[in-house]
Amino acid sequence: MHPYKNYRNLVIAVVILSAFLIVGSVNLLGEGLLFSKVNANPSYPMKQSQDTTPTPVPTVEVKIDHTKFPILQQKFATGPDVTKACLSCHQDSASQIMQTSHWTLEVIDPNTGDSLGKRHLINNTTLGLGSNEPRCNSCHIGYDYKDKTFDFKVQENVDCLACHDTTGTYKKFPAGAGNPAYEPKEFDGKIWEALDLSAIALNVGKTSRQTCGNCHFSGGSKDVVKHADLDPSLLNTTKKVDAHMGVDGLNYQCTECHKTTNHKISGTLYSGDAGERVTCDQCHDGKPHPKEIINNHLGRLACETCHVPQFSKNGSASLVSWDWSKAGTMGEDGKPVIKKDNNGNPIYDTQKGELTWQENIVPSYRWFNGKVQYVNLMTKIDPSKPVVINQFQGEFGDKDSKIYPVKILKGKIPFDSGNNTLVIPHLYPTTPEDQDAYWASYDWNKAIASGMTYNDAQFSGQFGFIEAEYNRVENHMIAPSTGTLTCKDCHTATGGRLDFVSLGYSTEDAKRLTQFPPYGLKMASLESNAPACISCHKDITEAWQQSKHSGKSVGCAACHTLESGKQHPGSPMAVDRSENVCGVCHLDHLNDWKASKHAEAGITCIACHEAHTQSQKLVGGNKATCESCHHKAAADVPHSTHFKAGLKCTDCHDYTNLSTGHNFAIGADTCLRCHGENLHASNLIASFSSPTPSGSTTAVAGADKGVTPTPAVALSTVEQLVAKEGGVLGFPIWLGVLLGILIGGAVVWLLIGIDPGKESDDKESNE
Amino acid sequence: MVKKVNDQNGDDPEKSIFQRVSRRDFLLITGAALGGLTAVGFLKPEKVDPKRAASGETAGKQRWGMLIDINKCIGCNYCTYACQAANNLDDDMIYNAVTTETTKNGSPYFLSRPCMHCDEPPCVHVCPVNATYLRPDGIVTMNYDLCIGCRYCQVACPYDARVFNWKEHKGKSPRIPSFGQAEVKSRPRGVMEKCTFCQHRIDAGIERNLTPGVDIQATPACVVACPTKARVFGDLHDPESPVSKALTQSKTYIRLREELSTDPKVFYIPPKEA
Repeated sequence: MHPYKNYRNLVIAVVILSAFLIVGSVNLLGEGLLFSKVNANPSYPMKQSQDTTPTPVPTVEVKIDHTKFPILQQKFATGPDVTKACLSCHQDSASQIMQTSHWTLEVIDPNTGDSLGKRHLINNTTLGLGSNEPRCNSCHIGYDYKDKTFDFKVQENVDCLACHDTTGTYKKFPAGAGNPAYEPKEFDGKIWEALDLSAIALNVGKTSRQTCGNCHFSGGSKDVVKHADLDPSLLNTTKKVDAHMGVDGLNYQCTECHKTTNHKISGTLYSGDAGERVTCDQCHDGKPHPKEIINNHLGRLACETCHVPQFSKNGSASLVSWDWSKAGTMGEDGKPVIKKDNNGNPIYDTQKGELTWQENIVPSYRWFNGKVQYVNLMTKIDPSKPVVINQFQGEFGDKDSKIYPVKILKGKIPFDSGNNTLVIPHLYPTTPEDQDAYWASYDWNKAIASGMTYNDAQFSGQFGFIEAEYNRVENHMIAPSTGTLTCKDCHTATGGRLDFVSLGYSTEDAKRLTQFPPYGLKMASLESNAPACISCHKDITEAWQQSKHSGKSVGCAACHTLESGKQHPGSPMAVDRSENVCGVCHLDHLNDWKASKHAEAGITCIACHEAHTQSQKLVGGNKATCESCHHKAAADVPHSTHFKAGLKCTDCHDYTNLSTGHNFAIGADTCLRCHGENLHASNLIASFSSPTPSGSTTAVAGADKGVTPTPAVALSTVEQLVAKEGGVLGFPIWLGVLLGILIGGAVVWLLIGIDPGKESDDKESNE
Repeated sequence: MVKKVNDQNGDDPEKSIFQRVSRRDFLLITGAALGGLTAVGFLKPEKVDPKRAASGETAGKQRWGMLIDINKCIGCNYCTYACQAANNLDDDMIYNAVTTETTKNGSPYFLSRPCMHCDEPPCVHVCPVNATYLRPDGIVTMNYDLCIGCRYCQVACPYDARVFNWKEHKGKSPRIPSFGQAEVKSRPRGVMEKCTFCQHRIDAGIERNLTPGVDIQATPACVVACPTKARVFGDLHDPESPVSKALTQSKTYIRLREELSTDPKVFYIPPKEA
């Protein structure tokens, strides 16, 4: 047999198989081998996507069902009974609580040894604790703290439910010395029903905003009296109001920041013990802002200064003034009255005096280093001027001090005009017969005498009213980055937030800081306004008027400075020609430039930019200033299609979303910003794909930065094309198979078409 | 040459050295040695002593000079442009030319060339009306009111530093405002113009207690404009001036056409490959 005939079937089979293989592999390669897929979500650091939000460490949630514990399945008559049941398992809890100021209402200043805390201090809201315990201690986490004989060592008096209730029904009776209502009781005309302690005890759990808020929302006898940044709206707030607690955002509970170990809750800002504070840098590192110029403020400004742009921004007015001297005026019927404003806030109360409420309070700003000088019962005061009950320590130049936003609560409080000391009057009648209490007899003399005796303090028998101020740093309701103060809120000529001079800045500093942008160099006597300069420097001023600077009121003195004590024109308005003078504001550009070859060679901003117009220094027919120095590239580029299409150097070398472009490197996205839509895909295939974005433009038009689609769009379009079923050619599989059979068949036909018969005949005949 | 002489005559070792060398050879050797020494004396660039140069004819308090580092020059022409802007010059008038030259090895470099402000300025010597003169501080400058436009000075200048004002120039230089503002008043048509080391800046600066070379207001525009700081300016008498310091620090510097004894006050750091 002729060998050709032997192998003919084999050859046919091989050809058909190869055809399948070729078509198949083209399809396969298209899936990923031929073109590696373009990632639609590039991992290079996009500025917009910089995520500074700390990710909470995942913890294993052990859910303990307290309803299963027999000891809780009983009828509880009183709070201490519940506590006994709790302590049967949580043996250490009460002794832990007893170490904390939540229990002792006392803080010992580690620096001075002074006894601070609610048990000792005076304030200008409810004045003081001593002799008024039954009312005040409705916020104490103990039971039955009704006078100074309270035994702080009795463990079952610790009120576990105040913090660990999850039902939201546990409320202490307002005048119950820390006890809840065990039977229906009346307060201020409102009936407080007896609590179902058994149900509450079965449902104990973690603390929540509700449990903390039960006391901390309503300090000073009512919501938003003391703090303007803590009110019941935080139970269900938005991230616009509070970046941390917004239920549509991070949804943090209080303890997320107020870290708690063994019932010791961190948080007080005023304690001398800095270790107890809650600070932003628990989560946010030292340079939390992408812009360095903002980070540079952190040595002098507390985070809150910008991130708490105003108080009482949540629609609930906060108390700004409490005048006790007006108290005691009865209504027409001879009985105590309460007058309310339209929002339901009391503006006059016979018991309390005159109250002033305000929404959207602009904070006051004070230097503060964490130390506070308190006025206590022993402190001699100067009756001729307002007394600041808690004077914040700290000043300009102190490295531990920062400027904080402070709510200043003003008011008038009674004081001992004989001894010139503050007083704690006996306000709340402990028994129905108690006629010493101010709220029974409305006699200040008796109330003060009684209160001072109770507090073991001297009272001369004469009293008056003195203006008093109480400062509070407001550090909740932290606004997200979109709601903060901006540069011009402080750096403006009129109406700025900060009064730099009264904060201790020199008048020279204040002058340069109250411009925008505040320039980093000292100036002496000349104003920054161009009109003063135009009289002599007409040409330069005209050049400046063409610039972006003139539109943004960046005047001559923003860059030009006069040495202190000198006069212009006798001395020149010198200018620093280094990169730093521009970098004061154009920080991103400066940083990018520093990474460039230009920086290595010391070629600074003004080498390319004319200082007054900021335009490029163009000469002759140059399209970009680059051509002045890069002669070789400038000689080559006219031959490129890009150049012929009208592009110039900066259209590629300064055209990326990854930086300001001032390192002049071609970015990963530079080509794609113009060619992204049809890169590696023919027009035919593009028509198969989904409709291209409306920003679709030609390469030339795409050079205009305004109309180019963003790289993200371009990249995803490329991926759509590449990832389409069937691979790079876009053919469906069945079409590939059909094509393979056709090609195979054609080759077979060609081979069979060569008539082998004759040859074999010859061979046979030869045989 | 000397070796060749020895080859021709050193075949008889018995003769003393005086006998071996003929008179003709002796004269040749001596002449060559003297010529070589002279050549070295003239050509060796290190021989230029700024102090000697500084103690030249001019007797003023200051003596302005410039050092241009050829190695730093990138040929951007900013000095030319800044000069044109400050002096309000049209495109076709260049006080400070930048040309591309090549070293012996063939590598290119940029030579930027202001007026050399010679201490022996040929242009001053030839001026028939004393329109151009040497100031006590070493600046060669013009009194445009005296100039009759004969252009002798242009012919005499070995550095091609002078340009003739063929047309009356009105309006602004095309280099304004990118490279600066016009700082001097326009010259009339038909006078010879030249680089003045921006004497208007120096004079005004000294009045305001500024230091030319340090304070930019008192420093020539070309020096201020240079993006790579290839140019340094200052008082050659003052050892603390930027130019004196730079001259002390640099190992090598030359002056152009030293052999003409014009004693220029513009120094160059030559290209490294040369």
